Amino acid sequence: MQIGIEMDNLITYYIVAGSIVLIGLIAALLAFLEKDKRVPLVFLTIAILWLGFYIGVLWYKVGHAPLRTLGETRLWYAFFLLFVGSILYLRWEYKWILIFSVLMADLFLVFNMIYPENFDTALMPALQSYWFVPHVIVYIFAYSMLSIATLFSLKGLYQMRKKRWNNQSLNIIDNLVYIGFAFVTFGIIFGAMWAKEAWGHYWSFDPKETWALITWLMYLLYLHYRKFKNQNDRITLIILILAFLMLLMCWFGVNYLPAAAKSIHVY
Amino acid sequence: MQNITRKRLFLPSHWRPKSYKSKLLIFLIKLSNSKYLYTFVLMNKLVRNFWQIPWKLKQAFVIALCFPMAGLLLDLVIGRNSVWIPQFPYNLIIFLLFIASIGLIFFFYKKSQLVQFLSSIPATISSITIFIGVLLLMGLIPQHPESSPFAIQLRLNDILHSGIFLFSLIYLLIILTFTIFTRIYPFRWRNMGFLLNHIGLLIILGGATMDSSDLYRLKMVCGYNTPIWYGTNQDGKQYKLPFAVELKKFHIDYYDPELVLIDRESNEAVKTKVKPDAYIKKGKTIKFDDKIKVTIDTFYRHAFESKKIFLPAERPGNTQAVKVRVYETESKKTVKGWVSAGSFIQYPHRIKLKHYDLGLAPPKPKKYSSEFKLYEPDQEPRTITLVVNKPVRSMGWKLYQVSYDTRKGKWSEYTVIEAVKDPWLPLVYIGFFMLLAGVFLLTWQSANWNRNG
Repeated sequence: MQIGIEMDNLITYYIVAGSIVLIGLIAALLAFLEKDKRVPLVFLTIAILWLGFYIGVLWYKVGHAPLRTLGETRLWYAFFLLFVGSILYLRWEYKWILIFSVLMADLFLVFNMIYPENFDTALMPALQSYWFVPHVIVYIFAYSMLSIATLFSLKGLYQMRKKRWNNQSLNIIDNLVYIGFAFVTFGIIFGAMWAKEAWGHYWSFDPKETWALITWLMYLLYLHYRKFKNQNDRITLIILILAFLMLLMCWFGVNYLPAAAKSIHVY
Repeated sequence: MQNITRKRLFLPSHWRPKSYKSKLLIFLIKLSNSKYLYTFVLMNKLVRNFWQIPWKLKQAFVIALCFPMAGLLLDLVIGRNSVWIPQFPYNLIIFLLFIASIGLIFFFYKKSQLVQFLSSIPATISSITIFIGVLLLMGLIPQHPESSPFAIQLRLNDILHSGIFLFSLIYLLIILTFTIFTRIYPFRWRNMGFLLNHIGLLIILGGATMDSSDLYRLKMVCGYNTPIWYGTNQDGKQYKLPFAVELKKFHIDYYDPELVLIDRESNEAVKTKVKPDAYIKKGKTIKFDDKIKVTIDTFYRHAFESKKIFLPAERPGNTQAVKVRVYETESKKTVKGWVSAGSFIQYPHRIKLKHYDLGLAPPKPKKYSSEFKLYEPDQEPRTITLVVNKPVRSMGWKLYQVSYDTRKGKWSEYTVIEAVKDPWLPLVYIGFFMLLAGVFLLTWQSANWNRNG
């Protein structure tokens, strides 16, 4: 079978994304029913490999890493969400985290079906660099980690309201944030080094850079607040949710901000 | 406790009663105006002086807020929004003095409550939060001279060069440096990740701040066969460079152009439901929402118009031109014709359809480069090629391809490059690597802790 990614008919994308969405939903359902822990993982592995294969073919077809447009980064985001969700399920058996990450990944894939214009093959000269792939992949991976941490904190706030809060969940949130934060740090510094190569300076407080720094500092604030003796679990969770809002702002909110009208990061 | 002997019988306004009960009690005592009851209040610690040590989060936030406030006040009083950071070697001296004085304070007054506060978690939390606040202002208010009048009045349209930014950074640096000293002495190996992180960050922030006065970014507009040995900075000031460059060749490649539907009234591209792959290729058929079908018969990369048709020719002012057959489902008619994006001497060519115009989008640059002859003193001139993302070094400077005459494109008569001298770059990069190593180590350690319970 020949897999052609002709974005003018989009049929291939519909088939691939549709099948992944379906497999993901089946896996989520099986995890919810709790029959056997391994069966949903088998389904998810198939979905991850299938999506990875599709991204690989897309990469080959467009001639560069498909990471430039929001549509393309959504594919990667879906990929890492499925990946991180299954790892967490494998290690800690959090079934509802698996369900949520599958639903979020599905949402992104479906979003691309509705707005497919975000695929593009022309890559501007400033983006043609070996930094491109590490910078974006590291960030997208961090985003998937941190979004799952945010899910945990939303769940925590709900549990607090129902008076069922158990601060053991903070341990897993800490783990996710530590890993996510490490990746955000790598992403931001790779970005700075790339900016040095492309634009002559590692940091020029371009709006995207400012928001990236705000995001980084918000997670830094979380890590320090966790060391605070009189910390309040509710505030901890709220900091995490605010941090994720900043992250969303940095990721795509910036494009709509009047402050960023002159940004060199808006493509 | 020394306040007990005060003669005037009132409670200082900054004392805060602990609870409503004590508030009521204090009210009664005030009414009675009895010296003994005052003593009773103080002895029983019913009120606590807000500034009584140890300081916690609230006090930390008040102190932290003072810094940007002082900065704002300074900006408004001095009446200029550019903070002045001295050049080398004075910036380095100030930075080293800053660290040394904090080190001395730390070693001599280690036990003092103030030093303990300055390296405490509440102080850290306050400094990070305040810094985030300043950055939020920066991210939300447009940072250029055409910002809102209110922002301009308060000098919030250039926060990077304002006292607000500098003072909150200084507070952050003070806390950071004190914290580092608490972990350096006594030294323990398990603090390695922590130290790498924090020292790395200190080096980055210090290095970048010193950089802001020692960094040269000089634009050079280079015409053909003219040696240029000077550049202009952002404020329009000219500087002499130790070398000269002479443009020999400029080269640009474009992506194949894209067909677009244009709204006749707004003159903007129409968004179709599904965006087609509209890149031109000979023989290809492009569909716009199944309403318009375009078949490409001829595609010239370099062409000139002559009596409504295009002929291939490669000389200044040429344009990309495409001959198409357009089939409209609604009217069931086929139209033939040429479309082109135009150039600086040719008008764009469009085909009139029922609702829209069919046109060609201006081509997107794929890659551009300039070939220079580089003259360095006491050396043979050498040929260098500048490409975006591939800077070239010369005598402590780095040369970057920045731009060209986008109107003329391939026939641009000049190229714009930037000469950058960044003396603190190695230091900042050391900071980057330390931070990365520290983050890696700390994440590793924290993950291990949690696994062991």
